[in-house]
Amino acid sequence: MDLYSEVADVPIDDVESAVEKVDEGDETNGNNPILASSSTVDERITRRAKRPSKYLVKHLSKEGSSSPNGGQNGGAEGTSLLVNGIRTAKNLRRPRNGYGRGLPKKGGAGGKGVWGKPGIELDVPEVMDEKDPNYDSDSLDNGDVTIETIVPQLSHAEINKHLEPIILEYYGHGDTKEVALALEDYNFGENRYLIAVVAIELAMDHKPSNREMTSVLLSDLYQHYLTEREMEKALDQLLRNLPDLVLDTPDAPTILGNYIARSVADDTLAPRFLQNYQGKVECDLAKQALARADVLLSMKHGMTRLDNVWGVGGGLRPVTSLVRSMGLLLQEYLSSDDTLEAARCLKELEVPHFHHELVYEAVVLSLEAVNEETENSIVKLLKSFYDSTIVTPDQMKNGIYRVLDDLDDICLDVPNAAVYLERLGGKCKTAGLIDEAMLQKCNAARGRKRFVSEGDGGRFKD
Amino acid sequence: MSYSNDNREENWSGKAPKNGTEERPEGEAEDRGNYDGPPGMDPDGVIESNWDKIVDNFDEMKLKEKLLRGIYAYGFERPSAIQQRAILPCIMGHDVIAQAQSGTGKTATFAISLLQQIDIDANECQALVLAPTRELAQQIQKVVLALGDYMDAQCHACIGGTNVREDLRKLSQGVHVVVGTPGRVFDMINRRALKTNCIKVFVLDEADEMLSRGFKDQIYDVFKNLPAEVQVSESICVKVCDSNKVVILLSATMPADVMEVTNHFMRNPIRILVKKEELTLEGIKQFYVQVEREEWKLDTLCDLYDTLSITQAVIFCNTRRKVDWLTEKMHERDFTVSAMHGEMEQKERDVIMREFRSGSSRVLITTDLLARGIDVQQVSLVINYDLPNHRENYIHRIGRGGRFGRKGVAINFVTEEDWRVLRDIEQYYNTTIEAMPMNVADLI
Repeated sequence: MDLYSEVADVPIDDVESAVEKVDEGDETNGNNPILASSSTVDERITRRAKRPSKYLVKHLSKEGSSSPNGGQNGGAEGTSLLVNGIRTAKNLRRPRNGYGRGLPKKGGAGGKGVWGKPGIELDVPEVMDEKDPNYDSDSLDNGDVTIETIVPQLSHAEINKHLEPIILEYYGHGDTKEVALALEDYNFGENRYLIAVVAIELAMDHKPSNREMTSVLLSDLYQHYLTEREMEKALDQLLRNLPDLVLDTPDAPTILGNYIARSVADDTLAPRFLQNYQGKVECDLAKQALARADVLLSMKHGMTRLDNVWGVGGGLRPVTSLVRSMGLLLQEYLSSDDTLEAARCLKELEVPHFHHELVYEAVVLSLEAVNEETENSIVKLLKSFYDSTIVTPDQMKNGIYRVLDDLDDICLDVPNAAVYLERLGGKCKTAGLIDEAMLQKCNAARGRKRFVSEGDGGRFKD
Repeated sequence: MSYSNDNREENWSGKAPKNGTEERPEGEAEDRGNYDGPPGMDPDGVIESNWDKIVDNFDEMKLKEKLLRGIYAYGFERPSAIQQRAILPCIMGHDVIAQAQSGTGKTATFAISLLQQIDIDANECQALVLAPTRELAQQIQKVVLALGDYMDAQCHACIGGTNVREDLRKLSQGVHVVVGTPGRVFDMINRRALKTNCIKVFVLDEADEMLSRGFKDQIYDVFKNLPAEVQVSESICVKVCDSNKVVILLSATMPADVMEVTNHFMRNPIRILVKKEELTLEGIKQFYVQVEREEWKLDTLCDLYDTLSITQAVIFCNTRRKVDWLTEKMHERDFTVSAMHGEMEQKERDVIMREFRSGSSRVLITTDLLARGIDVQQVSLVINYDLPNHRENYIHRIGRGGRFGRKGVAINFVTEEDWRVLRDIEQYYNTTIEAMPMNVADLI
């Protein structure tokens, strides 16, 4: 094609050179002396311009001569082919420009009586015909079905199964965002309120600090995951479940009452929730729970108090606040002399491995008080803790060691601290709280010079 | 003061040590001989008991063969301090009070004892276990089922709620062991779903916790419904020892109300009081690695990998999501790790644990929750990829049983924000956590 246009447009010289170029490019150059030598430049041009197919003869003959047997004696055969070639080439559908791969023109789709490329009929888009006997109404390819990913809605049992580990894990890490992320994986559908139900039911099984965390979780999930209506529905369901819950958690009504009140304080529940129930419940347990909530809410300054409705203990509280609480409970004990209450308060803090602090605080307190009465009641307290293993022997030892370590500092405020410690140590020994070695250390503390000598590498005096 | 200090003293503080000191020496000598832990870990001297027999391996407890197989398959190698002392008297039919800190193998103690005593061919409830919470009840059920696997023991935990019907069905089919909270069990007795006439063993687990949850009345209610023989023997003390009915009470602390319960229900109980804290940080070298940013923890961990795969290591993250993420990242970098995934069923977890115990996997990534109830205490290296937010979890991650106290190394990854948490942990446990030295590999 390109060649034809070139032939038509370009000046003669150029055409000539172009033709020659073509010839040169051909490996069987010189096999066509007739055409090349017998015609003048002008003739060639006109002929070619008019009947390009004749020009092609050259190439056809060339093809013929390049066949295995026609390679050498190209001259004679070339002429005979020329005549035949013109005839046969007339109706050939191959491109006549000498290029191409010898395939039919237009991919075989050209010419008369041809309906298009072979195989074209296969490409015709299939038309769905509902009346076709082979029509498959269930096929997904009919075009009337779109598929999207959905998360199946969970059944009650599944919700329980999936929520439980999420919440138990939350008790460990305390990150409400993490819970929200984990919840996103599931489709709760209309059962969203069950999040609150499961959370509160689990909290009943756990410690006060976990209940506090659950309150925080519910208030953080509010709006994004839980609406007010869902909170209401959840609490309503829990009120109805109470007869069952109370089997596993005797305090269930109180706990639920606390939750209702706390939710109101956290603005996740409207105060009218309580009023709606007035006079409508028959179950005694539900009445108890509602009464409890009512009392909590109607108390003066109730709202601020509700922040501590679950106490102030827990492993997530900063250590300093735990230390403060221990100080307070010791003060309270000194004035009330109630060891049971002190034990309860200590347990409420939920820090079983931190009780060495209590020993330390108690001993320091008695050193600072500088009177025997305090000493006696502190020893009594420690004895009762020791006997019921609330304070383990290790913690007892650890606490007293810490006092010994800090003794220099304590002496700044209580100059005679070492003497008092010796006295206290004696009492502890009598009560069986410490062993002989410990007592020796307490006694040794009094001799202010605690090292044998400077040259002994800081060895402690026995 | 309402509770009787003096009474208690008479009961055990006074009497018990006398007994103990007289009779302990043989046991002590035996103990010392086997003792290979760090100094100061020997539990003797803090154990008060009026029972002096110590059996320091399971083989000598004369257990049923199938039970023994269950015990070893569960991964126990040697009995813990409380197990060495308490299992035998329980099996012999004594009432037993066992006091030890939580997480010291108390559950397995009574599980082994009751499995030893049930008759597997009799399809009736022969052992009743009361626990303070449903969650604990389920954990106990798991342990009993695992230990009794080869025996084919049936154990059911009463959960109630939506499962009441399931509970009723199971109980009517007949199970050997029933676990539940006192209120729930009493409810089942009231519904006549639970037959009490064949009960041989009655266990009160975490008695202090049950009482502080207000279960006192329910415990008494359940007890009243136990077979008459148990109650009759309350007045006729002589007969008790022949009777094969056993009451076992376990508790972490022994406040006055627990003592009251023991006085009511138990006759001449054996008292085994392990005052020593079973989990301790003594002998554990604790280090921190300062990692400025959360994202750099992964690189730090990879740098440490060669060190940690020398021995076996457990890596703790705070969430299951993080565990999955970290496992993926480690695999991407061609480090071999195994992990406890969030979606894993108990069976799969057991497989992972078995792989880890057998040593075919060397690095395990897990969370507190997933690792709960599995004994990773043999592991000498623990890495806290995340510091535990809940301080109590720290000792559960890296603490070691005093009796089998081993050397151990714990490495904490600390970011800028974590400093306060780390300091709090130090203060909370009265311990020191130092910067990780270069030669940490030598310490493992």
